[in-house]
Amino acid sequence: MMKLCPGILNTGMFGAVVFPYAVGIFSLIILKRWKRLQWAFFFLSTLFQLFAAYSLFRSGNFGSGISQKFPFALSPIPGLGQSALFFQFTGLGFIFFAGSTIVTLIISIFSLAFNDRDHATGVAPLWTILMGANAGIFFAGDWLSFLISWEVMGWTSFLIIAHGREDSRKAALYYYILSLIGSSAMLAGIFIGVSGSGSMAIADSVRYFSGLWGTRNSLVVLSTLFFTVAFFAKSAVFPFYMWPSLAHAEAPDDFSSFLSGVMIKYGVFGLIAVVLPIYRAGYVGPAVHGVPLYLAVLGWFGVITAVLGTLYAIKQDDMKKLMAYSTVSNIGLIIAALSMNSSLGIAAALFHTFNHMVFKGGIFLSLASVKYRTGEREMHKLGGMAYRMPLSFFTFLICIIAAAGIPPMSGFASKWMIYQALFEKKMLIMAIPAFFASTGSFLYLYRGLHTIYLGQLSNRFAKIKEAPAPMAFAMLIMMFTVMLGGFFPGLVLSPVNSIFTGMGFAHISQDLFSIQGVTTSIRLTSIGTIFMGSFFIVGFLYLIGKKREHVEQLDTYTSGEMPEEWGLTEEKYHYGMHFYEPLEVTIEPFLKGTSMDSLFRRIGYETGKLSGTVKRWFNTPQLGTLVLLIVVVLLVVVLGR
Amino acid sequence: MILSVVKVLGHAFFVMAVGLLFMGVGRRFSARFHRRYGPPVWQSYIDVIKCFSRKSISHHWIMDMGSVMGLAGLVAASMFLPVGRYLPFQSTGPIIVILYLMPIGYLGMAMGVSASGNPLASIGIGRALTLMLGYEVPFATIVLCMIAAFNSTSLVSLGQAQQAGFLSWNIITMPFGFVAGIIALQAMLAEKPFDTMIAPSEIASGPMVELSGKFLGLAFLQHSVGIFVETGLIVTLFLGGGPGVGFFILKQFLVYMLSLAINAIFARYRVEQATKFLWFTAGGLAFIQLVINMYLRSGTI
Amino acid sequence: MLKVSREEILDGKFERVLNFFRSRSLWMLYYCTGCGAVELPPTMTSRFDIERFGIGPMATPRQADILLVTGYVSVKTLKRIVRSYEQMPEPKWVVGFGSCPVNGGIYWKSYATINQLDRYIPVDLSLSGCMPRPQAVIDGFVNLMEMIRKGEAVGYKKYRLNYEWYKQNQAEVLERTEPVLRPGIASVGKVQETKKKISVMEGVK
Repeated sequence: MMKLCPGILNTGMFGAVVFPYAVGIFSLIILKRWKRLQWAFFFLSTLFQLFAAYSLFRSGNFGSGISQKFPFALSPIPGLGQSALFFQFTGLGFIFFAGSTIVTLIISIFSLAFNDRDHATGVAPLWTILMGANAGIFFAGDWLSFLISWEVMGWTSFLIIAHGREDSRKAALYYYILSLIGSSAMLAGIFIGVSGSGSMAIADSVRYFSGLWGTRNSLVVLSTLFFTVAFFAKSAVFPFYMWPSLAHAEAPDDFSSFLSGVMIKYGVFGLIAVVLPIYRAGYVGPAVHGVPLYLAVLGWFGVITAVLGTLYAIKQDDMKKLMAYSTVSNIGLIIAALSMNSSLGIAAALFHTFNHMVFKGGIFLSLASVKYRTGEREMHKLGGMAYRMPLSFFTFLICIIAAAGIPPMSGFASKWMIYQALFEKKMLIMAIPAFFASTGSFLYLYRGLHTIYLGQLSNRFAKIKEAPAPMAFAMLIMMFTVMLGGFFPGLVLSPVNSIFTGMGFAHISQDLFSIQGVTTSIRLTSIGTIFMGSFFIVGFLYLIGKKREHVEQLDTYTSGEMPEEWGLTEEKYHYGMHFYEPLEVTIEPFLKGTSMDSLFRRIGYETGKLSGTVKRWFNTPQLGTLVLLIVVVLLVVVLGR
Repeated sequence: MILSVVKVLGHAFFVMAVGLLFMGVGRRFSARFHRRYGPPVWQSYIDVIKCFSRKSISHHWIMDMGSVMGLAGLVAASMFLPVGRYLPFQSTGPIIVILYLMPIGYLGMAMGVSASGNPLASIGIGRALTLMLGYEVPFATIVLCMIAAFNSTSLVSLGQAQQAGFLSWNIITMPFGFVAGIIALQAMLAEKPFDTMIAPSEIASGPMVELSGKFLGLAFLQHSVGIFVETGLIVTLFLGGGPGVGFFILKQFLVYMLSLAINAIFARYRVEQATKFLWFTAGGLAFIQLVINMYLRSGTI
Repeated sequence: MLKVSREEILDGKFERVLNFFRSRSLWMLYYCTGCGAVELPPTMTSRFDIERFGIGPMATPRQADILLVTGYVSVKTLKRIVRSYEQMPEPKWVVGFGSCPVNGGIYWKSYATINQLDRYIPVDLSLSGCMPRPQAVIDGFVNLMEMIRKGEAVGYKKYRLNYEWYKQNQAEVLERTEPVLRPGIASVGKVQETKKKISVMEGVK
């Protein structure tokens, strides 16, 4: 059995990475004409990845850190020894892989029905390749395989977001340029690490950096800064937080749930796997309440992102942009929690990551089904969707209850743990913006609920039907997962807890029903039960009241007038625009002062002018020959040394 | 098991009954401010029974579900509040749970009245949520002050920490926090000057515009349970929590009368004025208290 | 006239218990239709205080029990009064305030007001006077509370049982006085038809 284990792990990790690549290329080339079949293959490949995850789970021992080389040997790179491409099985990577695969499987069921003839986007093969890169990032053991997977993920997502349309292309380009800035910074950090440690393995670079504390502090801080820039750009943290509103909104609707749910978490994974271990044991330097100063600044960036994401979301009119800013806000809270670098902090961050995957996926799937039936994306043109599509409404309702952090859904447990992580390290002033951001989420979530699903149902949509069966099934699973995570937090927290031995942390005390924090402990199942009990008590009160009568939607209090006689229709009567205008007027100066968009635009503009000037200096017809001559001279000089 | 169900039921009805009694006495108290007599103290009970005895209208079943959910959230929040050391079941009385169960009241009511289709209701809810964003900042800062001083968010242990007589009450040891708490309480109870949510002549009573009969009765009960829970929080945080149920209710009554006295004098703030006041004045006071608690108190951090 | 049977109007035992509570907590819709409304503020404020009887103002017809028709009822207001009355859920009561809803008051010969409100919506209590002073108003309200407690104020049941008769009366007045040039609704044919009707009526006079 033990001899079989490395074998299963072998096929598990290797298969999980390479099988989707193969299927993706196959469906890209061979199945070009049968688009529905491409989606079926995407579903099957994700199912295979789930099976690989299951077999890894059965055999796995999360702290073992088993590594596995690529089956065919590569010639050793001169000066770097034998460490070529290999996969490393860590508990952290496995948990991210399992979570992302489960969520993608549910989304793929949704996509099977979403991509019919009218709404097809043809991105299935690229998405399949992206799933291979997804597994590659989480299981990478050395920098080369990590970089390969990172870059494949980058350009496949760029092509998917653009999906052949003009304004989507601009949004995708904005995202890709920020991603490239991040990758270049990461490359600089990798060069320093590889040259210092002498091997390509990620673990060796981390060990090298941790050993440098006390002797070359500035070099370590600079390298971690490079890595941080890369992961911040990928996870949309301040100052790179403006791209999700463009990219998530312009992407195909089912891919938006994948973007917001899974892809934005790669930066979080990178931070936990690469940056945080450097600041652990051997840290020597300034600290705030026991947290290294660099990480405390990281935490402040996190809460600033949370506040800015909330404030921008309150202003939005487009439902997908609103949810994209909500994602930015939640990522900010995750970064704040994990910068505490303690077991409670990392557990809180991981728990909120998985909860966010599920509830944000559910929200975007619900919005996608509304768009599928009505074709509208602007919120104020919709209204009353709940009266015709109750299942989408319920999914949206349960998921926004979780997003707002209200018990008994799963979002409350993870938000509570994030606060406990901040309290443990006495970062109380940092907790004030975190509370603010969390409360602000009620505002924009209610706006989405009211403007899309409630209010007045327009006559144009009086006959629309509920979403088709596979989409409804996918939404049901998401809803069920959110409720399950809320009542039994141990289902997610126990696996998270068990990876801590491999990382060298103490466990947090929790069980299936309750979590022990620093200032108090809560028992989530009893909170859920009390809420259900109160629901029944109040329902009893409701039933002993007198009968109620049903009235028409337009029969409302209008000071005794009958506005239908003046031509009032449901669309005019639905309240959708300028919802929070007093608040927007109040926060406008603050948002103008911190807008990164204008700064980046200014930088781009100035760079364009500078490059234009330089071009004009050398504006001769023989420019090509001149450049060739300079390059030849340089080569001679360099090779001659 | 049966005993705990009975205790929970009893606690729920006790909270509603005491809240309605507060409302009744409050109306008489406000009337004396206006130099008139006012209704009898059991007037709110009669009002609620009358509401339940009327027929009602509803636009959609989501309206029913929302109204029930609104009151259910607040009743659930009241289960975690220790009433003078008494809790209906074993728990530590965590503040953050109560703080996050109360918005279910808002969310349920919001969902219900949005389904009625009247835009005046949604305007009222938008204002109510903006005000909630306003009062949450000082109130959260007060909770952080408690953590800085006692390292606990459990209401049971906070009550026990103030048992050493009158001078150990937090109203004496954290005066800035108490003032910020009273201002935040005024906004939580939706009393003037922060009652822009129910603006009778501006937006025809806001969220309650289409509620009739038992829905209005449920909204009344929601307000009464809200009074109980919110004044109960202030009493436990600042006034020592009371050695028994009787003293607890007496202190709640004093806090509620203070809030009604402020209500009788002031006019109504606009919503952006109210939010700015809550963030900067009340929040500023609470922030000063937090800094004092974190760095200047002896024996902590 | 009104056809109504005793069995349909009487309350059952449980309703009589509820009538006690309904009489002690009356909420009125503050619909100031005419000049009689000027006597309401003194009645509600500190000097004469009707809140001690449990009567209070409410903003919308959905929440209110009593519709207070204060003063004369012009034909334009009648349409809005009927709409507000129908939006109120049962049980509901109407109080005619002043002499004008009783018999037309000082405007009994006008073409723009109606003379007997009781023909269009059922009035439970009339307070005559022009205007009735707050003491008279409070006396009237105490009477109404007594009527409700005994189960004698059954205007809403009369309305339900004799719906067609009331609607016919309302239609007479409202059709005669529909505005001619309402935007979007009027068509050329309708304008001519209405002008013909007016000329016919003037010919009769």
